[in-house]
Amino acid sequence: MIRGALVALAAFFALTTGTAFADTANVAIQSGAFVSDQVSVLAGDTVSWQNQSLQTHTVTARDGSFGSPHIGLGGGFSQAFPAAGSFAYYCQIHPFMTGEVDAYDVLLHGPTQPVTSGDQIALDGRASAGVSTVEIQADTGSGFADVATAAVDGTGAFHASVTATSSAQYRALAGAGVSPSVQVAVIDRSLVVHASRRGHGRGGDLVRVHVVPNDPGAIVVLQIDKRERFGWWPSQRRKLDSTSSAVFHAPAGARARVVLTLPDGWTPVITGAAMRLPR
Amino acid sequence: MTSRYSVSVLAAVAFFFVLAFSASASAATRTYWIAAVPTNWNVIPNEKDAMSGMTFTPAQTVVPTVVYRRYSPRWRKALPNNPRSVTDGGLIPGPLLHARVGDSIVVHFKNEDTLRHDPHSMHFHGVKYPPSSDGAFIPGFSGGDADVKVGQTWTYRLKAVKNSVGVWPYHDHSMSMEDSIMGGMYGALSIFGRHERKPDREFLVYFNMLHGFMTIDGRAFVGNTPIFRARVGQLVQWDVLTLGDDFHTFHVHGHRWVGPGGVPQDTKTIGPAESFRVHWVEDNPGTWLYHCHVEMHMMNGMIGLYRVSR
Repeated sequence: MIRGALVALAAFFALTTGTAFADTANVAIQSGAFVSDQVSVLAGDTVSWQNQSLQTHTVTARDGSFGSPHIGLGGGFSQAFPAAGSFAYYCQIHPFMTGEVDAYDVLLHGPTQPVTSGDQIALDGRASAGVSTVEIQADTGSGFADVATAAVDGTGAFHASVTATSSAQYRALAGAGVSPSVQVAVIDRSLVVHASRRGHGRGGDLVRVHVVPNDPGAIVVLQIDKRERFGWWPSQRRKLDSTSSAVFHAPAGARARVVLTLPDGWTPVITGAAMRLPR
Repeated sequence: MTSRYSVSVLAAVAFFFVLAFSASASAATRTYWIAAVPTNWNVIPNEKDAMSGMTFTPAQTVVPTVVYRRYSPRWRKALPNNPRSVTDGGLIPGPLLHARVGDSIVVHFKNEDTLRHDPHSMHFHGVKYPPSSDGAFIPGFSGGDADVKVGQTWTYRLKAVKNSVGVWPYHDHSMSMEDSIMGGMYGALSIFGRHERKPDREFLVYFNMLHGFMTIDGRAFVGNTPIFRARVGQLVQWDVLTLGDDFHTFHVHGHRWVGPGGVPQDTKTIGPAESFRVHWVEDNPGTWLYHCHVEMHMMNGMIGLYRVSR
């Protein structure tokens, strides 16, 4: 009787210890695709797929290690990933639908928006059971180097704070485990924007933008606030010239702003103040 | 002498008019220069679904992909794929290829896929062509038309014949076609009858899934999808197409058109690789919705604005 109670107690603690670190990642199944088709989880986490499409799908491991039955609209499937590794899967009914679960011993998260130079960067993460400290490393272009150490709490979570100096990749190390890297963009530039009427009877305005310090080749976008676009809409895109400047031709009287973006031409690095262009 | 001179002049003038008339009525050769190029495509540039209020970040909506892009001869200069009135001016879909029945269409294609480094091709529906212009990969049978490797070119030679009238899709049919079509490598041909009146406005509506969203011309949600515009009295033509795996129901608010058998319609179903065009003379000013009426598709992005002015 006592032995039975001890076994039950041990089972209870094993369960609660396991669930203290575990989390669930959700993946939507839509017509023709898993969204997102790649998820990073902590070893021990569960991934839960939900079918939001009218079609029936499966979630089937390439290596046969797991597989769902047919999942209809509104149905779902969950799978735990107890060990680190990369697990490719697909839909047996629509083999072009593919996805991947990457399980790590340690995960790191950073700010998704650019931060200003001198600010504190909050880096959070989770580590597998049994890890007490993690090393945080940064790579600004010359290789990874230690920048902080963080203690792991009873739930597996850890927090670190580093000073933003320049854009860098960050990662966390827990024993032999390495987290996927996270990119943190640090704003070390500023926008100078000047708008004026075009001369000689020509319609519209000129919007001149200058970025300091010089950043020739960087992309700037003129956005116009349009009612029919329900917000800001990219109107023109320019590369900064050798003097780190660009000129836009804009409609007079429009509400406009200039955005300095990453090389993809979309992700904002600095968003200039909104302004009403002269009429 | 005077009389003979007059006759000669009249004959010359008549000959000139015959030449001029036959030239205008004769078939033309329409030449296009197109390349497969990488781009960073934003499915939701305004970063929101204005209907529900849900917001997105570029990290969720920007996808590096490969698209068909129009060029000047010999791929010297990149050009807009289409006028803003046809597709909003983006790079998805590819260039709308126009011809009349009897015309030849020559498409010079170059693979500049420096993103995925995949082979690509162009495969055209609705027109006549020899196997060397099919662009469809068949192991052991197909040639260079179906397997244009990075840096290589191919010229597709097509003919718009009597039963080519209408709108038709084109798309990658190489080994990489699944990834390509999912990423936006598709376009359309619009073939008019020899003497058919061209519309005053032509709108291209391409229903397709992209980056997990249900898109029209590669964009999702009102404000992002094309804003089509017309004026009262104009003949408008909607070219509607889809590829992929889904069926859609094209619907425009406040308007009807004449379907098969003279039956009025305001909604029409379309399946993968099907295409149709509908016409009407615009008579209803206002700001209207057009969308796929499969509710889940509409809620996930397949909806746009149609603005008619007086």
